[in-house]
Amino acid sequence: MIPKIRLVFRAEAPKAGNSLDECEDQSGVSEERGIYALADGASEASYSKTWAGILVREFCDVGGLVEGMNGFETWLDTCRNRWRVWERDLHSKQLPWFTQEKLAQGSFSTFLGVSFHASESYAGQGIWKAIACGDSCLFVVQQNWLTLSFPCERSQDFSNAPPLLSSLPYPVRDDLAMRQGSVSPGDRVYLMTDALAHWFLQLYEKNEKPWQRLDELTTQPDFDSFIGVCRSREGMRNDDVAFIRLLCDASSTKQ
Amino acid sequence: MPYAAEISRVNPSCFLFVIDQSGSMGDAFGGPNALGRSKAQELADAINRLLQTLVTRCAKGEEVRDYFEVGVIGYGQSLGPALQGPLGGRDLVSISEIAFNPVRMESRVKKVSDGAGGLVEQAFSLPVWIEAAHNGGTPMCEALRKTKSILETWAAAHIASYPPTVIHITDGESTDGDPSSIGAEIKAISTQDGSVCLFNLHLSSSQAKPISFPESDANSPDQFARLLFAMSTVLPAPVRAAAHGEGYPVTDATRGFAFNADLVEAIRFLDIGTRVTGLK
Repeated sequence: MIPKIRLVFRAEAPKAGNSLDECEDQSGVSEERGIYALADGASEASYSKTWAGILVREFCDVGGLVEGMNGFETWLDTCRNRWRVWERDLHSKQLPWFTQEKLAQGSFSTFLGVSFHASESYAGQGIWKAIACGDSCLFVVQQNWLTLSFPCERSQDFSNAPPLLSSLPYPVRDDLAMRQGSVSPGDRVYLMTDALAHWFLQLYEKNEKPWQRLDELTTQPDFDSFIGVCRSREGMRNDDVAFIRLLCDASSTKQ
Repeated sequence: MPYAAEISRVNPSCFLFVIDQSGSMGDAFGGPNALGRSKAQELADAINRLLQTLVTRCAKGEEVRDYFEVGVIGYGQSLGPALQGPLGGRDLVSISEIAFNPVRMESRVKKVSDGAGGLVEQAFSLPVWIEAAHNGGTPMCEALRKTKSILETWAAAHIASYPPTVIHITDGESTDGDPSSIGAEIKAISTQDGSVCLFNLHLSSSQAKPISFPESDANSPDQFARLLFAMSTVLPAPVRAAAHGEGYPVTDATRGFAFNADLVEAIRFLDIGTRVTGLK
């Protein structure tokens, strides 16, 4: 039996005061391929929602094949080519001076991609492989204990200047983190961008189990209300949020 | 916690530049990087570049989010708003109005790396909103009274906002009295997030060594420098962090003040003084 990774819930929320259309945190899901991704577009860049969207979509298309540093760089080149095609189309109309100037500065985003595979060694287990640039986080909960916090491990690990992937050809090698591990039936997996991840780790450091509150969320209105409460009463930063919750089932559907 | 308010379209902040346009601004800058152009010309360029940077920071695609209201007050032979063209005559305008209403786009050339160890010339456009001016005396007190009046109205209408930043730029002493008390009155204007920040930037035609972001007036060369130091605000946290990031040895007592600044120092000061964070 190979465990199936099931998408349980996925939501996005904009900064308070902004519309959902302005939310620059993007999520990508390819449930049939077992591939999930988040990207947090940088607030001070232009078109960062577009860049974040390209990253998550491209990863969901080919992410299961992204192996190692070289594989990542090849994939990133593909993303940058997509961006250049999009930018060329944009330039086909007359753009204001500030739009042109900011486009020349490039766009930026964090990135977290996770792919699930069958384990060749242990029947009944799955393997996950994660790659991250910046502070969008992956958490794994096994038997109601947090067993993985990646790439940030403590609430102090968050800052205003996380590593970012640029649409311009800046090197990224030193800013990437890669990890892999295993999941078994019943394990819970969470992907979230920085404001929610920071809240999560702060509660965990107070010996709470924040995933239990996340497990109660099943609809977008639930999520919006929960984020509102966290911002107003629990000190969550007013930032865009993207969230994906996965569950490892026992049924076998994916090879 | 003061100086922590998010800057948003609902709660924008405010930058007011108060610039000396007296006759002495027609003299050239001092310092090793002087190009022989007048302080008035260099200052107009620096303010235009700063406005360009503020617009670019607020730009999202083809729109500009109104995170700031901006004003430029000039004083010399006359006193009043220094923005020109469609924005002329207005004390404060939104940053999106700045974006869409330069007087003209000026073609300039800059040297950039050719990627092979050399330099090549590259054309670029500089939007222009203010022109150089230098004439008459230095009615600093009257200019600061005008500043106070503008900011009292603004603060009352934006009580939840990050407080306004005033950057006062001069090259000489006031010709209409001691500006200390009016400076104190400006610093007493506040929003719920803190008091108005009053930064003073003194430009020099001499070769004297600049003093930037001091924590005391111990090294001030004269009474005028001590006066400007006393008028200047202790740096709020975001600006202190920016100054620290640029290599200035800042403390909790560091003030937003520079004396005998040459062109390079003046541009650095303006850049740091406008580095607020938390744009939403």
